[in-house]
Amino acid sequence: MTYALPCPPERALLAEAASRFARDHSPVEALRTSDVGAPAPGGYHRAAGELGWFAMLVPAELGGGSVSESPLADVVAIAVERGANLQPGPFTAMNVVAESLGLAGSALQREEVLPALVEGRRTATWAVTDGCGRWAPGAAVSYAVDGDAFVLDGFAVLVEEAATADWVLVQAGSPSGVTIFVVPTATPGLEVAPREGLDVTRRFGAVRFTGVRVGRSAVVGEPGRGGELAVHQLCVAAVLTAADAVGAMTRDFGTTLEYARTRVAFGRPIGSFQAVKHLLADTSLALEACQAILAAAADAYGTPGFTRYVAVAKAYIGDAAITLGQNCLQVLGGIGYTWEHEHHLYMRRMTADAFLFGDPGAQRASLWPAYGLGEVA
Amino acid sequence: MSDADLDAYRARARSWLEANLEPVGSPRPRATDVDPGFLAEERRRQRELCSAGYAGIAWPSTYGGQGLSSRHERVFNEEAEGFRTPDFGVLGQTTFGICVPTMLAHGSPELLARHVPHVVAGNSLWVQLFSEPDAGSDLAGVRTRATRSGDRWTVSGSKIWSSGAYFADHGLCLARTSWDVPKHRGLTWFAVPMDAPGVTIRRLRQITGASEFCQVFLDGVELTDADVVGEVDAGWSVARTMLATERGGGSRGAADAAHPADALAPDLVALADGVGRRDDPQVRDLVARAHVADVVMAELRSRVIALSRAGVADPGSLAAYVKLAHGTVTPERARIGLQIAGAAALSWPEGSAAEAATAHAFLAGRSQSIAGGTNEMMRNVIGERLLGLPREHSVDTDVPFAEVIRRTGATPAPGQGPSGECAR
Ligand SMILES: Cc1cc2nc3c(=O)[nH]c(=O)nc-3n(C[C@H](O)[C@H](O)[C@H](O)COP(=O)(O)OP(=O)(O)OC[C@H]3O[C@@H](n4cnc5c(N)ncnc54)[C@H](O)[C@@H]3O)c2cc1C
Repeated sequence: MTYALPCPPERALLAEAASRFARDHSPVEALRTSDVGAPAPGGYHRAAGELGWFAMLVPAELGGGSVSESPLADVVAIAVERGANLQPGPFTAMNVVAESLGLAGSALQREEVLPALVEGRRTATWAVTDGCGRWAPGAAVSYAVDGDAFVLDGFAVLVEEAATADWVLVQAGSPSGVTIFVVPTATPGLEVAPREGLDVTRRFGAVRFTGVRVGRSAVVGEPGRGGELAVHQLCVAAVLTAADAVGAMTRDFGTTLEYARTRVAFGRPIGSFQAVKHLLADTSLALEACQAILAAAADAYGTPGFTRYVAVAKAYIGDAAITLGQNCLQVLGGIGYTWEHEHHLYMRRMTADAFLFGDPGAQRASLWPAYGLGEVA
Repeated sequence: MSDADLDAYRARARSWLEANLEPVGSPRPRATDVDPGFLAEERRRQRELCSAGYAGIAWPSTYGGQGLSSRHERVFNEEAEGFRTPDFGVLGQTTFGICVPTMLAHGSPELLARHVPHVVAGNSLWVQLFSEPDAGSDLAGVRTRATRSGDRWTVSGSKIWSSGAYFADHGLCLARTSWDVPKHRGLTWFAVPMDAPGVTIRRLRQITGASEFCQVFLDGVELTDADVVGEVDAGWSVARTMLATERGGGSRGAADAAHPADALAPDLVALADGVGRRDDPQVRDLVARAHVADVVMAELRSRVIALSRAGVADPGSLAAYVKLAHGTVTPERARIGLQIAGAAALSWPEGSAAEAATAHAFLAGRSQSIAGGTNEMMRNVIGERLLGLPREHSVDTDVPFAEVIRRTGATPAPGQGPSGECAR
């Protein structure tokens, strides 16, 4: 349970439609019977595309368009509903790729890739973190230039829907800078391995690049000049991931609160015991604070303070998400410890969100350079 | 009022400030030791603001204010940030941020006409007289007694932790006027001149070593109907306004005008530099944690204000989010300072106020989690009034207060035993 601030009516409709869509197409109940996270059902992305899920960060003249003047806040509204309903699919990556192609894509990419993503006919994912969980341009994949071709080598984990995506976004590093590639997953040398993990509501794979050769057509923007765009991509992804967490937190907290109101022990509802009441009050405060900083980060999109706001938001929400999951489990007691109760699905999801695209510690460390105070000597 | 009006107002305010007030570098901490000489100078500064039309900006012009919006007030405070404005110590906030806004909401026109213009002109500072030795969190349990005879009132009792009472001109005082009704229904507020016969003030030394708060003894203080704030026996609704105003942070946050997102916790970065630990990864993480908390708190405050305006819940209850955030972040932040400074927070060269600041902040950090409603009270408000969790079983809310005192066997204030006769 959390409060809703007035927002543009179009955005409220967008969120409402997202919530209805999620319940109709991929209800949470479906996850209870699965151990590894279900793939998106057939036609899911196409239908989501019709709702505008992948269009908000793309200019109207390229087939996109947001519903308000704050496009990232629009995508955030969808992401919150996705988190609340534990939705499948590489939503974050698709929005990031679509935005990047709108900003810096070639004519060919805008013709062949962008409309397919915006309409949800095809999907894209993102291979960005290395085996140690560093979320930085060039961390997972490096490239070398060979004549007209680029040769990619490396290994990335936490690649959502690696096995089903049509393209993969890569921020590859080289001594001469960062280059952003959008690589068809069918390219020879690109190998996908499924993995198991904490979050059973989504499927994350690993991708190995062994001498993957691509042409200039796979490059987004200028070769070796992708550093700035790469940081921007990570920021957008961090906000959408934080939004996913806030959605999951809101739903998990609501369920737990209802339980505290109705579960009786010692002849009264457990929510009347101060130990429980105060834990829930602290949790509610944290959740309100998450909503506040999430909105601030989304509104900072397109302003010079964006990177800093994102780091603050992702750091705070990441820590709060993990704590909220644990607090809810404590209040739920034994039932919260079962596979049958949906709590574990939420706790897994928001804990993964806390780490995806930069965990709280990494976000805090990034604040010093973000304020021009330099790296550690 | 349009944004252009506000911009014009801002420009006017800025040029007046530049022409008339002394610039100050960084925000100066408010005075903690206020003596008559200091006070006279600060009153002069307030008079200067007043005659230029920059005092009581959002208060009604009938009472000496400017009758402008709170946005004008905010604009002026933002502009005034770099200038030396009046410093009334702790009474600056209680007078301008809490007592007068509460009175404006509940006081009669006569009462307001009698008091507010003096506040605007710098002649009247107000202390909050509500906590008592036996009633803090349980504020509705106050025992200060006000008895009526004709249009006159006699007030006796004792107030405690009254910040700044020793240099206040007036006190906003909560007293019990009916003893044979449940505790919330027999309360009344009074405006008490602090120089009235029967008022005795004793300064108390605080954990920080300063002596800001006081015990105030009221011994047969004579007042009249004209000194009643709000309705007789309906003081609890006034109390709720006052607590909500206090918990919401009041309106006069000149020190809050700079947004924490503008810089990385500058005080803590300076502290880290002072002890040569800027590159220590643990220190960097601590500073960043404080910064995250600062920015989130500012955004939370804006959200709560917006939620209150949108009417999603009772504003007084919503303010508990902000108060609890302050009450948890402030001590945590003070502790971070201690961790960064290490040994430098334990001892310093004699007389070095700057170096004593970390230890001082650590000791003072808990005032935020106690004063104006403890963290636990805020958690109760959030849990019960906002989250709808069942209230704690209470043994005293439906019982006449005299009966509560009898049952708990608590000692009543001197000379006012809860005998049957007094309870009438
Ligand atoms: C720096 C400072 C300045 C102050 N300035 C003023 C002032 O200007 N004017 C004024 O009138 N007062 C002032 N106060 C008083 C302040 O409002 C009270 O101290 C506060 O309301 C707590 O009351 P108490 O001290 O009696 O503590 P108590 O109410 O006795 O509380 C002691 C502890 O018990 C806990 N507790 C009490 N009831 C419950 C409950 N139902 N459930 C759970 N826990 C509970 C409290 O949370 C606290 O931890 C000031 C206090 C401080 C520290």
